[in-house]
Amino acid sequence: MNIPRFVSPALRLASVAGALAMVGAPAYALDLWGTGTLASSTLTVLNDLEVRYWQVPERLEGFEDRNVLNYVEQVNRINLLLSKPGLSIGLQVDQVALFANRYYLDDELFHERVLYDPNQIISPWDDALVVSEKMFLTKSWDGVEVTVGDVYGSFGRGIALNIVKNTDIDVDTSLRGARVKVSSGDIDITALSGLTNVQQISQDNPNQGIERGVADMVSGMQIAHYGLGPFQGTAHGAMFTFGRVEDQDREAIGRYDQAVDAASAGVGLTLLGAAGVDWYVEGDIIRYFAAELADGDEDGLLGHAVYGSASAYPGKTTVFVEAKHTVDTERLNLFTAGENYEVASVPTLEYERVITEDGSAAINSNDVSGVRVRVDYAANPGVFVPYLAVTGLRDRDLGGLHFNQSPETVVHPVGGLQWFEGERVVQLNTGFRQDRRDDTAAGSDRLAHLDGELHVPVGHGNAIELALGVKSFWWGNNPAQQADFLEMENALVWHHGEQWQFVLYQDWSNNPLVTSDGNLGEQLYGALEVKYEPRSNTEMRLFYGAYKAGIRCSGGQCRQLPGFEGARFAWTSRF
Amino acid sequence: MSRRNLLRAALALGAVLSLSLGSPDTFAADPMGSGGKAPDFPKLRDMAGVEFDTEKDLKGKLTLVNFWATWCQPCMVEMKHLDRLHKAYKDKGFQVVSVSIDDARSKSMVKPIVKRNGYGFRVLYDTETQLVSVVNPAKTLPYNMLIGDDLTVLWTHLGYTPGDEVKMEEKIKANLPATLPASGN
Repeated sequence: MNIPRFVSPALRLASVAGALAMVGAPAYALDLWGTGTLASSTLTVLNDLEVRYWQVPERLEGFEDRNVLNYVEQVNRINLLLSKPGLSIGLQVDQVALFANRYYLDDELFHERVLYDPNQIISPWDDALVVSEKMFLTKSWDGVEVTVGDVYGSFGRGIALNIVKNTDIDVDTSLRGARVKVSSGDIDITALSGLTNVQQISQDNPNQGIERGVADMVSGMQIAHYGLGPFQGTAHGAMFTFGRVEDQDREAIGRYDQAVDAASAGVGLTLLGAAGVDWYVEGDIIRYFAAELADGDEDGLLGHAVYGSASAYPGKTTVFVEAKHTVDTERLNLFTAGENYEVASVPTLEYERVITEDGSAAINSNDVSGVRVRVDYAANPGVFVPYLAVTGLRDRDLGGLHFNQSPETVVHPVGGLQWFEGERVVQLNTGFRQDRRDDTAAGSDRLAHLDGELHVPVGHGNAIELALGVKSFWWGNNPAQQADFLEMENALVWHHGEQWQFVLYQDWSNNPLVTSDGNLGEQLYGALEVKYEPRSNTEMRLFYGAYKAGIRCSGGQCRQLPGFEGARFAWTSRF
Repeated sequence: MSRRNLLRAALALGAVLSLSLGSPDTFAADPMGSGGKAPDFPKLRDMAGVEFDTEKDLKGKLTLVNFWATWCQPCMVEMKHLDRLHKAYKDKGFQVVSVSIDDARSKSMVKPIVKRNGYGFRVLYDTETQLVSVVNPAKTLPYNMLIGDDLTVLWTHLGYTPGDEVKMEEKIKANLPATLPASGN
């Protein structure tokens, strides 16, 4: 057997990256277009380049002493925006290339990993891909705004429709179609329709096996009436036709010919300052027509949700209360969950930053009722504000992500403070969550957590920042019994002047559901990062080390993020 | 991966960077200071439901437009300084206009945050990301844009680290309008 020979397509593929990055080079906000239609337009370019050297723990069988499977991933994202009064044109182009992704073994060429599915996506390169992810044109006249291309929609409190970009977890699904917004006096009418367009190339996650996905059709409308004294009202509705796996090879536009799978409708009412309280209440119904969504019931299924919030500001205290009751709402996302996005989402009432694999079940529950109360006391407004919050949830759903086979009651008190004094910053949050099952033999799951940030100036333009995150989780008894675990995500930062930051990261986890291994020990991860900001429009980061895999929840969506070991260079610039 | 391949990858990266950086003059100026016009603001509403009017609410004033969200921790730290700047210079023709890009789900949490900290600036809802899409398509936060009294973009800044407010105040002081707008804040 011959030893494996590496095949590096780096130089060939560098032309792709180079060409794209060149586009992101000197482009200024200039009067670019003379006296033509686009006179006085402004062109803005945001370029984000990232190169990652992945150290892969797996070894090629028979060659355990060689890092054959290590590779380099390079991702570039360019956002171009042309704007002038009354007109905006935007384009997002993403490009990814894998370097050192092939090797010869016994003179046979092997690919270590497949970047994309060639049956669905066409690219002239095996290990590189360029995608025009998003594009839009917005034209506005007095009181009318029309956008064609990629649009987003978020009605009421998101229960009937919530298609938005979730920057936090690198999920960006838009509707490729059109949106019209008409504003006349105190009335705003928004209508939109399009086919879902899932962002193909990921900036934060490894790009492998990229598929085109199956587009879904979403159409919706909202009418909002303001200025009715202290009242504001909205009425909204949306309808959905979801693509199935067997629709993969059909034209996406065909979704408009298919039967509607589900429809949602609701009304929301805002009342400002009544008895010193700001009120909001919303009710929605969701009708499921498709058999897959209605548990096979030919007559369909009706889900509903009620959400309300109230906030009051007596003296130095702010009291915020929100509550919800949902029945069969989350199943609206049944078809899209596999593609990591949701078309609608009920407010979670939760402190999402600490949600675990188990806790995410209540966030994404079909049938859940709950209330959250948060009280902030502004001892020194804007400077020192401690708070206490308690969330109580009754989760009746037993399907989907639920580990348990019994309804449960979740109680989650959280307390914390913010102290912003000059350049000194302290932010602390800590809490304890208990998921108590009705079946007492199944026990309860418990989670204790603490996260915080401390930033202290130390003179001569230097500052020290400490960020802490600790979670400890104890499982009850259930068929999917896992071991208890402890997780930590900490960072120590030295800010040197306005331009430099030096960061030391440390993660620790013995969570059996975490799929990565530490680089400093089986459970211990460490990394160094240098950040350089030569100008306010440019940032460069160089990272070496590892961080752990784990679940991350944001905006009512949870995503498993893989761990990383290796080196990474990121460069963001804006012109 | 062998050392040779690492070298190739490094060369490729070098090529990308050299192509992108271009001549040293590339970064010689604050690009947005070259006179780009502020984009049209879509019809956004503030916390009281009042519509924001680009012409009426921006023209004649120096305005810092701040994009934030309830889940953005650095935004929370920065906003205290924005409020101080708003209060310190509002009689000199300066204002802060704050734009929450929270989606519909967390819209109820916006006003309590503003009220508990006693912020005095105007807050707009950009629930469907209409404005941020035409200003900062990446939607990373916080993001600030200083707009002159003639609707020219004077300065932009992404992210916040304690101390950034010093540079922000310098930019504001250097660009305060020569004559005060007819109406107050």
